[in-house]
Amino acid sequence: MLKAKILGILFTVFFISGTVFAQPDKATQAENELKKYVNHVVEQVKSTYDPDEKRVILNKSIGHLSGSLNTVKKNMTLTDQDQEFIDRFIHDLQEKKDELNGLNGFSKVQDVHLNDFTDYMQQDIEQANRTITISVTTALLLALILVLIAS
Amino acid sequence: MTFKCITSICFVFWFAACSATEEILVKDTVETQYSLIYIIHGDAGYLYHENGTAFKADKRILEKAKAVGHTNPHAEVFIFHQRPKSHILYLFPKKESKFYYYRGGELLAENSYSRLPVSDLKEEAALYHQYALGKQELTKRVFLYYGHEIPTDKGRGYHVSIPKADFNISSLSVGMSYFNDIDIGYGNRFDLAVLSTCNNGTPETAAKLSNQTNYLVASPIDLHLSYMESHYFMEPDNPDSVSTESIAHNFALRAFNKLVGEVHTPVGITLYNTDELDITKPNENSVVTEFFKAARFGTPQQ
Repeated sequence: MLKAKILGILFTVFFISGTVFAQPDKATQAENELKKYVNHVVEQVKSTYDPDEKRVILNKSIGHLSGSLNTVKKNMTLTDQDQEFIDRFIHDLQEKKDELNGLNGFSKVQDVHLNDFTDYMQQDIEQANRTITISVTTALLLALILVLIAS
Repeated sequence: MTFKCITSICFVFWFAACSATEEILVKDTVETQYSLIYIIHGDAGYLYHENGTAFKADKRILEKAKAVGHTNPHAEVFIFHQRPKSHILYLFPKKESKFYYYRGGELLAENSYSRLPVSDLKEEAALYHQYALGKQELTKRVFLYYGHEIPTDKGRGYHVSIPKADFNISSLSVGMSYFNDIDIGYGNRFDLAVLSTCNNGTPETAAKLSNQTNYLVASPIDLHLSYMESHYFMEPDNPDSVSTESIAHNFALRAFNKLVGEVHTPVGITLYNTDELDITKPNENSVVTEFFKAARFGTPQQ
């Protein structure tokens, strides 16, 4: 009986270690959720031929991202680093929205360039600096909101 | 009986985690003109997408580095893939990282190894010295680093699975020095170092690495995770007939052209001659060449 219990514990620990350690850390998981969300947007934009519809998808998605960041900002006590990251991210998203719509000094992205602009937006987020340099709890909350929006 | 079997399996895992590196018989090959050392950082988030397909930047560049090892008969290629630390059954440290050694187009060694809990390159350098040809037989030694931006100072958490370790440009410089051991005849500097990272192509970084490399190729701005590819080294110039500066220039140009063809973000690659640097006053005078392409998007008109 005791042997069976030990074997059971060993198998459980082995199973958990295999599944848990094979996964990336929480901050990386959150970062990946953000990248997956953006990729989902890119696929939606590219699968649509109508430029007006592409703009609607992009405006809506940028709005969702900014909204998620603002929700995190309002509902959490942020470190200076988190605050800086979120403010910069919101600012970058606002600039992309301005460019998409030709506001605040930006020339409006032409219909024929909307797919390239979407790629640009994605590639800008997927650079070789750390996309998310914020704390794990902030990153997780952001990821959670994004998952809820996407679902 | 079953209990004994399971216990034995656990011990096998434990021994596997602690076993010594195998000795590999190295064959004689054609003349080796290049020694290429790849450090590929994979201990963080490296997911990116290309035409809807997800890639891990570290795994992708690993395959490309292996392709260089297979293709170039005149190179010895060391590839170190730094992966997140892990344990078997929470207890037994696993050899998490991978090492590959190619010479004459053949894979001569492949090992797992464990990085130290501090973030320097001691373990990698030890493996390098175990297999490397002597300096006298080599013409050019090139160090290539692929990863996220290396911080100027501190850098705690750079290696996600070693959260308490700092990693910054100074620690990289110390790490490179382990490969440049004068006592055992490898020379005191690399001919060329490549930092395929964001924002490290600055005069300050070049100054900090000037003791470790003659030339530095790096990006002064953000760099997409598809990285500076090293396909140039599949068929590089013959180092007997061209200067190190030409080799560095041609590498940077090839990498630049490939990136420009693939991404819509701005692309910038700078080549530094570290001999021209005034270490006390780093400035742009040491820049040999700059490649830059602005993005079509992202700049307001007024």
